[in-house]
Amino acid sequence: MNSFGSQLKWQFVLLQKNSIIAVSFAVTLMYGLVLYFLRDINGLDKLVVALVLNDPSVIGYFFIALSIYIELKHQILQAIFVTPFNLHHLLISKVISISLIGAVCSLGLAFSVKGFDFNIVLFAIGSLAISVLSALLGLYMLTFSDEILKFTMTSIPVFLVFVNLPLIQYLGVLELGVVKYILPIQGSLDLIDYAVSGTTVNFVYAVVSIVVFIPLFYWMAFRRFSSKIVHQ
Amino acid sequence: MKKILKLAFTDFKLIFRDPSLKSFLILPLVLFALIIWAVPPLLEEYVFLVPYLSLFLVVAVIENTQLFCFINTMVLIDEKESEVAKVYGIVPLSKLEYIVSRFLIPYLFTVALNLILLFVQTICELSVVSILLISFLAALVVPVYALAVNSIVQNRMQGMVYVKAFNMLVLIPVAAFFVPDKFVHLFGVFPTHWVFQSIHVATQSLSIGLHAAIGFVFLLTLLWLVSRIFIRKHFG
Repeated sequence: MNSFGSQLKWQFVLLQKNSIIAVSFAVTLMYGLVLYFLRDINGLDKLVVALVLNDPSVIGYFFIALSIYIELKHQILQAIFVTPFNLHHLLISKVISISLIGAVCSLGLAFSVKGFDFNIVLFAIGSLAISVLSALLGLYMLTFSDEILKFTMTSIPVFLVFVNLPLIQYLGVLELGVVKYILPIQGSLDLIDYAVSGTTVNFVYAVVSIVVFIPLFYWMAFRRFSSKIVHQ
Repeated sequence: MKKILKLAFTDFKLIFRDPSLKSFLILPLVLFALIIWAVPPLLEEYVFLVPYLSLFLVVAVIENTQLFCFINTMVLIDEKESEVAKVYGIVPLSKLEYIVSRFLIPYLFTVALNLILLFVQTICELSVVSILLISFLAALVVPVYALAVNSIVQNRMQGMVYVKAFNMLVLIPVAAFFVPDKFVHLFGVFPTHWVFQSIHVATQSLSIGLHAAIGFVFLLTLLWLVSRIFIRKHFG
């Protein structure tokens, strides 16, 4: 197994050791049972989209930051930084592992309501993109605080803009007009919405949004993490 | 009693010594502002929300409890990680006195938050008795939640994971507001269901006695259970 594959494997082992995988799946199962129970009420598609926007994004954003704070606290990362490690491998393996859990949990929620009656591929792409963007934003934001509670407090406004602004626009409470197209998760949100509700969507915008924002977020997170955490 | 109060106040000062914990005390003010100034215009603007006005109170009341659920959970995990918990194991206090001292002020603080919230809100009329019962009942979530999480987790990472899971368990009975009447009490297996239903019944100017009584029995029984488990796990 190459270095990146090994990193990825161990990230999953760490996530399981800290109960993240088991608890995330248990929470999804609980949500799924309730949603299945409510599947005949009106507006459930919107509720699924709202949950998918919140659940994987929270998993990606907070758990990636938490894992790094803990590794810093126990001097694990400091030890890794003096080895000939590849920072890209470390960050990408962390992002992929946590994002896959988020995406699988999102799919679980959708299956509980829609069965197989939705566009699984587009839904998976949309939810995975939200998880990846959230994890990368978490990586970027954690460099501004030295511990998890401060990070949580500083994250409230950031997270409100990142997740809740597109969500309240989607629910029709607020009309942002063309401004919504510059929101990082709008393209992913459109894909998920189309996948579960068949709403008209501009696929070119959705794909371009994901293709532009993920590398941009990664570049920001990598530069900031490298300068503030690795080379501090 | 004097020892318990002394430790309770000393423990409460911990929150004000930690700037990151202290900053969480802003959150109830944000919640108050939303309930007092943001929700009433929203209800006027969107008529379809009117049938769900009790739901706004339900969410506000339970969110008030989440402040100290989170703070107490984190403080106890921190003591476990730094091995301060073992010191508490040998202080001249019984384990029960220790638990009372750790949760007395957070419990009363949460009661006060909900009393203020329910008295000042203008969403619907509530009787004084209902407000008192709901406030004292809802605040019991704080010790149950924090002790339950700390009975399971070993470190801060696991703590945050279970906080996320427990938040869901606390909020899941909201779904009872969207199901046919015959299915409502299926959510009664979740303790907060009885808090939510008490609020819902109170907003209809009906007696909340039965719902509140079930809630008190349920939450106090859970508190006794998780306290026993916590004592066994925390000081080891």
